[in-house]
Amino acid sequence: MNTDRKAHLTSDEIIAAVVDRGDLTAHAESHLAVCDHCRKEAEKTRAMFAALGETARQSAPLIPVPVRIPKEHQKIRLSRDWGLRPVLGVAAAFCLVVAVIGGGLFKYAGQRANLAQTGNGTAAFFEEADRLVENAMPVYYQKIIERDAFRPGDDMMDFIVPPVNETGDFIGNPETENGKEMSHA
Amino acid sequence: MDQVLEEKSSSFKTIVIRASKGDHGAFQHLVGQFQNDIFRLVFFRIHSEMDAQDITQDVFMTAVKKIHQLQSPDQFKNWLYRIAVNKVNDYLRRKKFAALFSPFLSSAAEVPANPMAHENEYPGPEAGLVKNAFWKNVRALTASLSLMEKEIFLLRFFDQQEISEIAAILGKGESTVKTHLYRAIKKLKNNPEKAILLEKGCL
Repeated sequence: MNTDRKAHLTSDEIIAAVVDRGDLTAHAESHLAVCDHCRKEAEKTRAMFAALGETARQSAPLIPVPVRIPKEHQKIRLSRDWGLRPVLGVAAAFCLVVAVIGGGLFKYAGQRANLAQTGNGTAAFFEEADRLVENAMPVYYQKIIERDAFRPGDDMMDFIVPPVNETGDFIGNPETENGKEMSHA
Repeated sequence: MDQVLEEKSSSFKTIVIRASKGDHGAFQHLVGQFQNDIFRLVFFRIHSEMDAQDITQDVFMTAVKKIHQLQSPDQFKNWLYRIAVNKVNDYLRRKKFAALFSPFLSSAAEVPANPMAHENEYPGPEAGLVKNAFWKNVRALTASLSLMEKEIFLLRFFDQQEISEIAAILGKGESTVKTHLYRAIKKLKNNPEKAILLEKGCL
């Protein structure tokens, strides 16, 4: 920054004056007001870039074909943005859900039919299949697990997972909060 | 004088509001008012008349679809300029992407990596040469600028926008815009090679 009123503005201050003269410091502004040299320098820089822009505008062609906006683009705007899009979205989601559920059911029915055919449709076959689904491990391993498994007692279970209906404050029981206890208070 | 400006501004606002409510004539009026400015804005950045025409059309198509979302009619011009700047950036990104794969994609030839590809678009050989030399100088001049510095420099001196308008177009603060503009001018002014090009360009 110039502290000497007679010293000319620096190159940076000249550029700052070109960008926005209003942002100059009071000292630079007062110097610019009285110094022809600095004012001319700032004006020369500004004019150089302004002339460049003006030449660019003259060198650029005019638009060859005027822009045309088809009428229907404005008329169907609302129906397309707010009407059709949500409907199409819901329809697509519905089709997807139907396809997933339908495909799953079809596959399950096919598997049941295959099992029945393989096991000659006997009840014994399905019982065996259900037993395997509940616990597919061999009996020997099941016994080992039963013997060594850690089984928390009821108190421990209550501590780990408090019963919701009894305490009533685990997920917020409306009866407890707004009913009896609130009325006591 | 102020009253005339106020009436003009009020009537412009009315046109924008009518256009936003689906009035095709009102929107076409806005197109007529801004199409050359938008076309020039695009051309200043891509230097291709054909592509600038397509992008300008695309800008107004986007505008007509989205104008009902415009909150303030006063901001229509800045909003339109912002759409144009974004479209140009999309185009330049696509061009850069295509240039990366140009040895492998035959369709990449449709998007020229070299902006001089359309140099024969100007009528008249001499005028064309002079203009092409000018744009070549402009490219050399702005090559050292960052993307933001270049954008702000072009908006300020080529598109003749005020600092506040540039801030609104780019969604930046005025002080940020001034800082970038300051850096751009400093780079261009202090580089002797650029200064020579600048003087040539202005002739």
